[in-house]
Amino acid sequence: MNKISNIIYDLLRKPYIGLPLLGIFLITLPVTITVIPMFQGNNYTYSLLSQWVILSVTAIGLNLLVGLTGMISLGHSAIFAFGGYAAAYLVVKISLPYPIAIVLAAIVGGLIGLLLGLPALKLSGSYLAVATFGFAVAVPEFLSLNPQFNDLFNDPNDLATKLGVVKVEKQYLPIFEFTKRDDLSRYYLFLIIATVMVLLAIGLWRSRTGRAFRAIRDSETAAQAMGVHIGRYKVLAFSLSGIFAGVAGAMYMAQIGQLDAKDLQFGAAESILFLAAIILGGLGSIPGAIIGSGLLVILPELIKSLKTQLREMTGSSIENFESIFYGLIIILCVFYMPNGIFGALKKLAEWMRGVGREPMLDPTKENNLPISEEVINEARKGV
Amino acid sequence: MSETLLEIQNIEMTFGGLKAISDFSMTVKKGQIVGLIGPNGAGKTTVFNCISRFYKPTKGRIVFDGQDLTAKRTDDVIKMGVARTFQNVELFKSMTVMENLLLGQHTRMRNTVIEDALSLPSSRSSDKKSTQRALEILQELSIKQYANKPVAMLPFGVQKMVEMARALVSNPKLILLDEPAAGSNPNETNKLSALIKHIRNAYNVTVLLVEHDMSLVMDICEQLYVLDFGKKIAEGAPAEIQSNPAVIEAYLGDNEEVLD
Repeated sequence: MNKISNIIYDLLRKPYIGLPLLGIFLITLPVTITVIPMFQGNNYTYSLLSQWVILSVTAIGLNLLVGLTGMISLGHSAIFAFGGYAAAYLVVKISLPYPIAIVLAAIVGGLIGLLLGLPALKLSGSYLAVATFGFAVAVPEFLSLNPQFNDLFNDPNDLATKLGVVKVEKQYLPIFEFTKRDDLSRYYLFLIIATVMVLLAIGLWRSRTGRAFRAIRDSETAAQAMGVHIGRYKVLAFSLSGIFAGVAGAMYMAQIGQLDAKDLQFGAAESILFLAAIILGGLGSIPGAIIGSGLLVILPELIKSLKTQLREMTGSSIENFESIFYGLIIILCVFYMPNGIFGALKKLAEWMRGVGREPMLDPTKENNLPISEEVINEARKGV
Repeated sequence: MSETLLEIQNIEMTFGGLKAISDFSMTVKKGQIVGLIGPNGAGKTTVFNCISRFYKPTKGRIVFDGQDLTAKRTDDVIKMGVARTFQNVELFKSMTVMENLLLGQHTRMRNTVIEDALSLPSSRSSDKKSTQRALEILQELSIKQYANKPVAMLPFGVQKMVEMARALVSNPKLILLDEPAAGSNPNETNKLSALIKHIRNAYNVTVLLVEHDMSLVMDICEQLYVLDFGKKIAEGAPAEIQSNPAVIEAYLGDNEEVLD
């Protein structure tokens, strides 16, 4: 028992053990997921997995901003949309290979993120949330109303174009011919992209840059005293976070094969879903963002199948059952796991191992000021 | 030893209509331990905040090491060689002692965000070097055993030591200590005064401190400045200050007033 808990503890605490294992898990996931009754080895299941990967990339980026730096953004759906549009334009109009389009979409995401971060120089907390939310509301309208964006891709007289739908599907990029109909290969392609993003995130998380972000979250006063340029790092956090959202948008474009500015995935409400993913999974942690995203993708599916079973059993169906149940689970998770699912897992592993019970140091003891005898003697001599 | 390191020239600091400091000047020479004392609300911490540029003095100039500090940004101050501690301890609460000390070296580390994102060897080696340096300082202050503890778990006294270590690790020329002895018992204060002297000697650093504990101030300071209601009422060696009538009045109040 104790050995098992030690292993779990190590897995959770040491990313270099946990992450390769996670890699194996993800690679075999399209097969292993079929163990769960409602998932079969079909395209629908694979597209769900792709959705998870896409949401994870956005959530990791958002966690860098919200969890690590302590700022809020409700504007990430707009960056996501820009990333998607940028990739679609580059692939369809300029016929760039998809990998290059992804890199450029990342740059677009970074620039939009930088723009979105400028209000953070003046605003914080709820004010920042509202300002960024305004951006999220305005961007889809801007994209759908602006004929330049739509004409770029389609015949302006096309009905779909008039409705603001941009079809990328028609002219799928060459590299994508093989993934076009094949959700499984697309999942693996996304997995490669996501791995790169996760590695970048790990680099940022554990370095000087990540520490500066956390310093701003903990105490802006002390961070400034340590020489951290608050404004520069805040905008940097927004920009880096935008890179992740931009890449995710470009992945989404490849996933659905068409862009619709009115697509719910580009809507302002999606920003709240991104936020929910990191709060559920664990603020400030990379695995947390991935776990939270997984939950948000898989939960509606589980509830759907539950609903079907319920209907078979009782013969009647409850309308809006999904949303109610979905909302309830989110409320319970936040209520009982304030540090998210990953935080709860970590706590559980620590508890099983007994390290969580380490006593506080006794503040009444004199060695609270641990100055060695040598130092005192030296000073007494008047060195 | 007699070279001037810090020179405050007639600074004034007003908040709205309130004058927190008026026409205050002081000089700190290299290698000195200088104390800034005065009753509560006299403006001592305001002077500190002006030096570390959390406030911009409404009038006057602060010259440090030949450069005009008043023209610098807050985050430039540590680069110039001025590190500080805070009255109520401003540590990064979610981090370990070591992480706090690595942040103390933020401006000494040169790796960029791109190196960090790509986990390049330059990023890792810079972290390693800084960790090594932090360990040396922790060893010196006898708090090495706490290196990997989250600071929030540590008692107040140790937190104050960590904050001092974090200031020292930046390799400052001048260290500003805001009430280092607050919350310490007489025995601890004794040890602390030994430590401050040791720091000055071992790290070749000049010390400016704000303190209420007179035993500490009288023990270690070579020069004292006394503030009352934002004005300098006395300056000189500790012995002179102790017998200065203006200082006694500021601390104990005017005798006659009491009798009336």
